[in-house]
This record gives sequence, C-alpha cells and structure tokens, in this order.
Amino acid sequence: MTETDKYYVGRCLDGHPDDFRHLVRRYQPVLLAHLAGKLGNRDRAEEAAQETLVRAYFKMDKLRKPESFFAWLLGMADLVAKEQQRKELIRRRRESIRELADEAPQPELSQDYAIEAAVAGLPEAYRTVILLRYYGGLSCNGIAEQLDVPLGTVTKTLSRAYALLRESLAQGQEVNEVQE
Amino acid sequence: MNCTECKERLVVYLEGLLDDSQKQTVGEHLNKCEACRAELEGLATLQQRLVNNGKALAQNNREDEVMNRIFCEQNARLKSAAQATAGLRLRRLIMKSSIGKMAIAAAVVLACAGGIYLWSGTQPTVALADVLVKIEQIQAFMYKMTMHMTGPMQNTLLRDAQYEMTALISNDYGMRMDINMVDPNTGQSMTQQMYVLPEQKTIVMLMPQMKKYMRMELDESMFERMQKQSNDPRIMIKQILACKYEELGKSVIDGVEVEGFQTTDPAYSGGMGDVDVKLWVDVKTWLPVRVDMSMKMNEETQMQGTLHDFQWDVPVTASEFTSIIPADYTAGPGDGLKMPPMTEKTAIEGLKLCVDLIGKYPENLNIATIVQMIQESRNSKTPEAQKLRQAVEQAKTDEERTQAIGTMMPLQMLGGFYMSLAQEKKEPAYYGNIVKPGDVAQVLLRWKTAENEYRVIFADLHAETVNAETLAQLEAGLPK
Repeated sequence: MTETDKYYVGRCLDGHPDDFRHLVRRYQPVLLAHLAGKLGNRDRAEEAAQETLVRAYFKMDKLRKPESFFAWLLGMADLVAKEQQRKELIRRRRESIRELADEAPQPELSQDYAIEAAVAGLPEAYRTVILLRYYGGLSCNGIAEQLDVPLGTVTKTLSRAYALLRESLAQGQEVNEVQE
Repeated sequence: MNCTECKERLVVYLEGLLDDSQKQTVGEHLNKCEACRAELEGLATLQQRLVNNGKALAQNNREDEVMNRIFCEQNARLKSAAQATAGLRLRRLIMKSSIGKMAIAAAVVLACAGGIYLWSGTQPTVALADVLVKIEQIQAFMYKMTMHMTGPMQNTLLRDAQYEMTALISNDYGMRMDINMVDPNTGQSMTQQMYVLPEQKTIVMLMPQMKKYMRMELDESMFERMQKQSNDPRIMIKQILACKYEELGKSVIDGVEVEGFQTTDPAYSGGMGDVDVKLWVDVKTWLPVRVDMSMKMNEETQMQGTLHDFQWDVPVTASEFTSIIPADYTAGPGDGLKMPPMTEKTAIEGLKLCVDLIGKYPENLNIATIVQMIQESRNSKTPEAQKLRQAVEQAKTDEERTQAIGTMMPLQMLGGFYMSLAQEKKEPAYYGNIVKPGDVAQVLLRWKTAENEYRVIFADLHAETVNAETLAQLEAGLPK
C-alpha cells in the first residue's frame, strides 16, 4: 500500500495501532542510515532507530502537522542519538578512569558508514533528499510529491547534495591517508 | 551544449528523467568531452555506493521487533489504570481491542463448540453413549484447556496466541471460564474471565487488567447454542456420536488406562473446515481424561487444543456465579450489546451490511473468513464504511461506541448461522464467491427446510421457499 504518511498517522490516532507498521517499514532503513551516520556504529544505530520509532508512536498525538511526519521523525532520531552519545560518553569516561587508559578512545566508525556519516553531516534539506532517495526507496518524483516541491527542485537539491557529499568524502579520505 | 549546461543536467540524466532529444544532446556532449565524462563517472560511483548501502540497510527489516516493542509498551501503559484513561488515543485502542477480543471470543467459543455437538448420528456404540450418560449424572466439573491459535483473525497483540483456560461447568449455575492469552513472542499475557449465566441469559466478560466488564445479552436460541458450544464435554460427546467416528482402541495417559474415539467428519465443525477430534476415556470410570482437537478453518487460521485435567463432581457454590463484577470495574464499550438471533433475517442483514461495507459478498461463510472481512472493512472506502468509521471515531461515550459496534453484529452472526445450518444437517450451500450483489435470479445461500423444500436467499437478498426441482434449475443457472 502506498498511502501517505498523513493517512497512516490518522489511522494510528483513530485506534488502529497496527497501521504504524507501514510507517516503520517505510522509514526504518532511512532512520538506520541517518543514525549509523551519526553514531558510526551499526548496533547502536539499530537500537536508536527502534527507540525512535517506539517513541514516535507514543508521541504521535503531539504531532501537529501529520504531513511532516518524516521531518518530525528525523528530529526525534537526533534527540535519541544525542542521548545515546551522552550515555556512551559517560560509559567511556568511567571505563577510562577505571582502566587508567591514557589512550584516547578511537572512533568506532567503520569504513562502511563513511558515506552515512557524510550524509548525516549535510545541511537538512540535502540530507532529507538523499535519505528519501536511497534509504527510503523513493524516486525523484516521489520525493517531490512527499515534500510538495517541484521536481526541478528535487534534482537540483540532489545535484548539490552529491557535490557536498563528494567533497566531504574526499576530505575524509585525506584525513585517513594522513593518519596512515 | 557547453560543459556548464551539461553538468547541470547530469543528475537528471542519471535519474532517467530527460526526454529523448535532451538525452541525445547530453549524450553527444559526453562523447566529445572527457571532463564531463569523468564528472558523470564520479557521480555514478557515488550513486552506486548509496544504492548499495541503502539496499544493505533495507534488507534487515526489524519491523516486527519495533511493533512488538510498541505493543508491550502499550500493554504496560494499559495496565496502569491512570494511563489507560489518560488520552483519547488509548481509549480508542481499548475499544479496538475489545472488538477484536469479542470477535475472538465468539470465534473461540463457536469453534471449540464445534468440538462438542457432533457425535450423534451413526450407530452410537454402547461405550460412547455410556460415557455421555455417566457425565450427565455429574453436577459440576472442571477441566483445563490449552489452545494455540494462528491466523489473521488475531490482532497483532494476540497473533499466534497461546490460550490457557480453566473451565468450571455447573448444571445449576452455568459456566465460568478463566482465559489467559499469552503472546509467545513477547511473553505478554492478558487475562479475561467469561461467565455464561443461563438464568440471566447473559454472557459476562471481565478484563481485569483494564478493570472493565462487558455484558452481552443473548437471544434464547443463541443462548442454547452458545451453551452447547462451550467446550462442554457432554456436548462434545453428543456431537461425536452424531458423526462418523472410529474407535482408537486402548492406550495409557498419565498412568490411566484409556480408550479412544476419533472423528474427522467435517460435520463435526459445522462446515468450519477440517477437524480432527480425539477423545480419551478412562476405562474404569467411563469419564473423559483428555480431548485433543485440531481445526483448520482456512489456510491461515488454525486452532489446536487439548482439554485435560478433568475434575469431576467438584463442589460449587452459587456465590461463584453471582455478583461477579467487582465494584471498581467500569462498563467497557460493547457492554449491553444484544446479540441478534441467528435467523434468516439476521443473515440477510449481515449479507447486506457486508455489501455496503466492502462492496461484495464474503467468499465463504466460515467464521474465520468473516472476522477477516470485518477487519478488512476497517480500510474500506465505501460510503457506508466511512460512515461507520466516523461513528466509531466520533463516539464520545461508551454507549455511543457500543451502538456503533452493535451495527456490526449481524455480520458477526452470519458465520454462526451458516455453521448452525451445517450442524443441523440442513444441507446449506453458499455461492458468494461466484454471484454478484443485486441479481434477482441467482442463488446466494440455500438450505433445506423440509423434505423436498428449500429456503433460498437470492443475490438481491430476497428470500423464497422452493422445491428441489426449482432449486436444481436455479443452481444449474449459476455462473461457473
């Protein structure tokens, strides 16, 4: 089924909780990509994505504009990611004190998520388009429809997003090379 | 075309959004220009990485995990009474699940009931009939039942649910059943108590987690049927006696020497699907020790259950069946519903409602199919479905909600009506899978009312009584 986000949000609020499933299906990979980029770790990203969706379900009645469900969901993911990072930081501090390790904690970012990390670093408008296109399985036309903008805007945004991504990936490469 | 123009179009080109002539222009420039080709290659590589990563992430879909977490959390919130009434959304959820539960309860009761009625037609052996006589002398007894149900009639919470029930049946006071439903995936459980009270002709359901109760008033004939169908081993034995059954010979269960009887006669379930019922009787006392049942209502919906731990002649007091609703419980939506009688009139209303809601007749009148259709109708876009949805959504009080739900009752009764026709061996036949609503001359549902006499509900929902010859002609004219 390809109903709009707004439709499913309405269904959930009307007492059909199982319809939330469609939104989970639609956005879980997107959230995962976004969070993997932010957190640099697959397991933590998965946990955070689930936490985000569960939280979103119970806060849905506070969502003012159901048509902007996705933007709202990403905002919630950012909050969850921040909380997780804070917890992680505390955990690391404790550990390092305990072990008296003088070595700085290495970022766990694997090569695999370099691209997601670059995506997470994009300004919001570009990030949204990339996430929907590659992790949300939407075509350019689909994105135009969902964001309610002309097709030309979508392709131009994509174009700019690619340029930014390539820049950021190239920089990452340099950093890696310098480290090696 | 110059390089700037070309680069501007590369994304659109890659996305396949250019028309043929534009594509050609870009293609021509690319042929000539190495810099733009390199740019395209760079873009394509990036795009490919994104596509691959996207696919890798999408592959691992944890949809069920998320939904389970939501339902667990929801349950936890419902259990705290303060939160249960906190918001509009949660109130509606309770309503939804009680429709679900009502449908399930009805299906369970009717399905299991199937278990009881059927053994009465073909030359009863002395043995099995004796068992019946023996149990009928008993005033009250208890048994436990374990049942596992799979299929779409379950709401998400109860998908693949495991039911544990304890039943207490008293000749004087009625029946009480404690039902515990466990979702094996999450370990979440929900309890429910059901009382069948013959004096008041009422069924009372209690939902302790929500402190809600629901009373359902039954029509006389329905009540009798319900009693018959409530896993009462007496009725089971009568039903087995009415069916073709086989003797399984001697065996031992929990150290008790038993003798078994088995039926797979479809009449046992009243046309509900494939059945297999085995009854084991203690050879010394002639009382049942264990009953194994399995029923396949359709491809997706199956039920397997065992009745065990029978206790005979247990002491029962009236108080166990009176004032059963605790003072702090409130009426849930659905309370006060009246079940319409299982009659032709109700069946016609049910069929009409079905057409109004989803624009067609049910494929068949199996209870599982009908429960599925009721769920389907929640997404239907017909005016009638929208109206009903609106009525449910806008209902402010439980009474209004009950009223909205109540309009669905005739549809719920359809399956029961058809099953009763089959159990009473009235040769019912149903053609909803081939006839379209509105046709005056085509048979939709028919059953035998007397020798050489049939009652027919036509596809335009008028009913007539016809003789066998007319019926044969009518049925010959049905679409293939």
